[in-house]
Amino acid sequence: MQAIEVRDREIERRLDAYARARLSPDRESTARTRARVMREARLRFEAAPIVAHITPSVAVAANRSTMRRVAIPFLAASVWLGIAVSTISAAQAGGPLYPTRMWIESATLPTARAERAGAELGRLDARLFEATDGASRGDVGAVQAALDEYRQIADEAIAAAIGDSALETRVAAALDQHLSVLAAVASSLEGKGNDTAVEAVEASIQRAIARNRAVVDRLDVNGTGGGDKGSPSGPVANPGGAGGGTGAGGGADPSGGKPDRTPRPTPAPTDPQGPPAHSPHGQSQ
Amino acid sequence: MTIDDAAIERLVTEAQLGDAWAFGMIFDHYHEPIYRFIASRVNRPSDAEDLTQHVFVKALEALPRYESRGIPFGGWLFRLARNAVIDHVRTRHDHAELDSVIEWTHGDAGPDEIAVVRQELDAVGAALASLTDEQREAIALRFFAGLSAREAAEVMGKQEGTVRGLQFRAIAALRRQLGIEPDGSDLVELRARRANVITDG
Repeated sequence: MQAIEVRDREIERRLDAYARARLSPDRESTARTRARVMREARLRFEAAPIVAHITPSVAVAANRSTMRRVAIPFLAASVWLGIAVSTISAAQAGGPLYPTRMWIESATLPTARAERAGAELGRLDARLFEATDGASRGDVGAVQAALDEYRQIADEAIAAAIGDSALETRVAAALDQHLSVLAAVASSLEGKGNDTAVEAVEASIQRAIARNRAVVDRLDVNGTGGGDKGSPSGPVANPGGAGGGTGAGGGADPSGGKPDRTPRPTPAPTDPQGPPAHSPHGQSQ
Repeated sequence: MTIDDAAIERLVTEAQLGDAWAFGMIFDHYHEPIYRFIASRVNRPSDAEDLTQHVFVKALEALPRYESRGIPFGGWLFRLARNAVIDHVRTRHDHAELDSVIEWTHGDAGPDEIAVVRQELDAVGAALASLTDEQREAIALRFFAGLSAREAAEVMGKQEGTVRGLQFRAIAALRRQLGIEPDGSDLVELRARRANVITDG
């Protein structure tokens, strides 16, 4: 068995080189796929409670007479829609319907890349406005909610821009401009309300500032050259995690602020006959 | 990045409860091996990207119904990937060819070096194309996706010993195709054969 293992090393080396060169995704492909999959995930996860809420009502309605079966759900849906539209449009940052509003915003974004990036930048501005507005009212919860969404949208905007130098420049410029606004929000919070909550929001703002700076620096260093494919053996693209420092290959990680939850890596046991370095499970046979 | 099975199961549980961050971590962990496996079975990188995305969206749909039951999440995910590839090949009458068109070389490599590397990669591609479908699948799961023999066996629906056998024969075929010199154990075998021939003669 030992001889077989030694003998196979050359084959392993060649297969590994082949996989790295011809079977590995480039960073643009990784970022694209991640952004699409995570968008789908967020839509599903956020829609699930709404569906769960509506389904029982529909089931009850199905047992009634034809007239009522048609009329009541229609009426209920109309009323619900009316209330929902007016409530959602008025939902403020930090309010119970704020996530729903964000979900609807996200679901109605254009699909074309440039338009999408432009819309994401508009959403970033809106979140900054909400954060500023919340800070001026001393509403720490609103600021925190707006900043959480800001980080998530920034991730998506960066992922959407990767590989297009013009878009990357636009995103970097926007994030650069936001730095001063974020700093102003942080200073306006001083001495307002609950110290612990304010500290948490300030920490959140500092993280957003650090991330923006990192992204701006990175794009400046690359000369906005998103087409750089880099080494195939290098790490997976990390469009949104430039400043996150989670080390988890977070990509356009929607959380941004959950570094402590990164699962603790464990060293992969040696598997002499097994595959080369890349082992997703790190377990021997 | 290496995450142990327990951490993966925790992430899966959190994702089942609607935590998008946890699903993102799962994506980051499995994206490259899944992509590599798929890319080794389809013709075009664009197909590999689309199918990889399809697999993760399928996983998202099926996640609420996933139960471990002794099968690791990775095995379950790779089964989705395998089924997606089979469907793709069947519906598009696509043949699994390993000679993918994308290729990267290091920026500092000279033209001669690039030519040598390309030649070597072409040779590996041709050697892989000469394997049987099952041998190629075993190699893809073991070496490109990085699964253990047990996991590869679960994905292929075969016994672990069968997968080891497929891998052994595939490697022997690759060595022959690539002209990799046999080592000491093979020389012993060759000498024994030669001795038999002489004795018989």
